[in-house]
Amino acid sequence: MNYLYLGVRDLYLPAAAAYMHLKAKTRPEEQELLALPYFRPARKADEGRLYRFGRDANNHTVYIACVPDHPDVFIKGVQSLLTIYGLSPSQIKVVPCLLENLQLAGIFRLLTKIGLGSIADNLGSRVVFNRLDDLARLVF
Amino acid sequence: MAGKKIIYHCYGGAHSSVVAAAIHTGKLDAQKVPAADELLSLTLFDRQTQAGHGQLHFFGFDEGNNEIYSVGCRNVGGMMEKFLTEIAQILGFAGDLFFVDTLHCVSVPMRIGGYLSRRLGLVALGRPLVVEGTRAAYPRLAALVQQVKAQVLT
Repeated sequence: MNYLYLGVRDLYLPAAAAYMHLKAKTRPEEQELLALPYFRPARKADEGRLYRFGRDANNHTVYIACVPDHPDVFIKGVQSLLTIYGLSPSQIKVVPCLLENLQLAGIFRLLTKIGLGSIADNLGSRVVFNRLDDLARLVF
Repeated sequence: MAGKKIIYHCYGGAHSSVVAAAIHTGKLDAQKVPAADELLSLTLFDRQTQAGHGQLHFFGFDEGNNEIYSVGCRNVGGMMEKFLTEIAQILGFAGDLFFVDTLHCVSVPMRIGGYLSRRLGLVALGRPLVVEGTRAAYPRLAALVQQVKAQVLT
């Protein structure tokens, strides 16, 4: 089984959710999040790509990805693909981790563009901590 | 040996991708522009709803035993190609999917008719327009399918 945490124009929430999944932690530390490999603003080139995050205690592979828009279309596409390959729908569990305000994704990108990547990361971690209970509900 | 999965995609999965898939599987004659009745006899033609976007619809097999599908991807078709290709890779089916964007074959009446019929629900107004638009775009769609066949079947 594979888990895919899916963001829209954002990698902060998917990366945090994947980390919580792998470490089985509901309350990660800020320093832990900031040290994660994909805990950064999503770039155009990231959209549509899958990043392998690791394997959990049950040997399930955990991925993260971000898409530009319409997450429902991508989720349905994955389910549909599994069906046409004759695989169980549980083969890939897609978990949407969506920003409540998509404008934040633009702000993350802008901050990175003007060389303020660390501020973007701090803002990203604030967004994650603000949504921690939601993420925990999605992951566990 | 199993063939590829050829996936025609457009915005709504209701017109151009459906017609292209029908041409590819031989349900519509590539040489002759179909009558309105023939187009409307296609199960999905001008019937797909927004809830069905992302769903791959199986049309049948071509002469090379490739599976033919249509899908509506809204305005994220290119991204969907990339995303599903990666998903297929992690499932162990790398190189199995062949995506074809049909959106560039779409005529203006098709866009307007499609919007009226599918988005606004004004079927009586939009459907005649989309049928005429599809008939006008048909040679382009047939040519695209021929290109795809030449690429995949050789």
